[in-house]
Amino acid sequence: MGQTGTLGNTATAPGRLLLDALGEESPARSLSRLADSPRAVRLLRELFTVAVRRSFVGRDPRDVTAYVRDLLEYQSQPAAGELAREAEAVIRSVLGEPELAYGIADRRRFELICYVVGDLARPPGVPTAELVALVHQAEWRIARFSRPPQ
Amino acid sequence: MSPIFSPVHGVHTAAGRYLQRVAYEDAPVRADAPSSAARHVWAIAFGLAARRRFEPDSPLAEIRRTVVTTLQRHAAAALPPLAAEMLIRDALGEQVPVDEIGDAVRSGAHLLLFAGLVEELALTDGELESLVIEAEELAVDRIAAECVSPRPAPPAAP
Repeated sequence: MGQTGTLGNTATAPGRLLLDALGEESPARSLSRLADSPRAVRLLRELFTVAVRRSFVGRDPRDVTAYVRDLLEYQSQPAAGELAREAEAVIRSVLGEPELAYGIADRRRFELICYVVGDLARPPGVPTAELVALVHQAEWRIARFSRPPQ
Repeated sequence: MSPIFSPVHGVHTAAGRYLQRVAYEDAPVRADAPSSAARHVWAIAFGLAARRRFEPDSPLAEIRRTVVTTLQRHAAAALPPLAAEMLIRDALGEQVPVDEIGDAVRSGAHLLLFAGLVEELALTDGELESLVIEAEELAVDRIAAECVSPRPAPPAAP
């Protein structure tokens, strides 16, 4: 099955919530408003993992540092201090270095995940079909990992 | 030359001697309220050791291995690993986030990583002493340069 589709193809309600948030003017802020929905938060975490791995696996790890600087500057956030190190730690935590993010509070981790996932919609942005495919993949990961053992 | 004016050989400062002791694992990495001059010497010594151990384009995995090994040996110091990695990459000239690292953490990382790097480089006593002396001399030069008021910029070419 090819990874294409439309907004309507998204199987789950959380998936639609995420795609709607990504279509709004401030995607990161819109995503952060989903904090009260545990299913949406779970899907957002998986989407973060999928997006980060597809972007950075196999590339020079130093690209993460440059990406974080660019992301935070775009978000008008300080890009040379603690926040940047935390963002790099959260990204690298899903690239095989989970220990880097151990000390980061859940709230801050969620905020940084919203920045990174929201960045998928930064102009020119990921094409809608690709975005839907990423959400599908995140949904599929949740379904696969939550399946009870046979 | 009269012997009275002969230069004194060896490490000159308490900060330098402390560095040597840390490298020999003979002193804690958290010194009691070090002076800013001492921190300066440690920062410079750390930079010298980092550049002797790594190239600017050394693989990140190699730098990471040094950080992990060093911090594991000194787990009680509880230094943040990513900040430690960034300090090494900063010393190699990379543009990395090293703001908002407190003095205590920064100096602790400088001392600890200095000891780890010296260990990895398998420096002899003499080489370690030379490295510390070089750091002391560079620190004196830098402090002297900071004390001199900056010269006015030359006029722009027509």
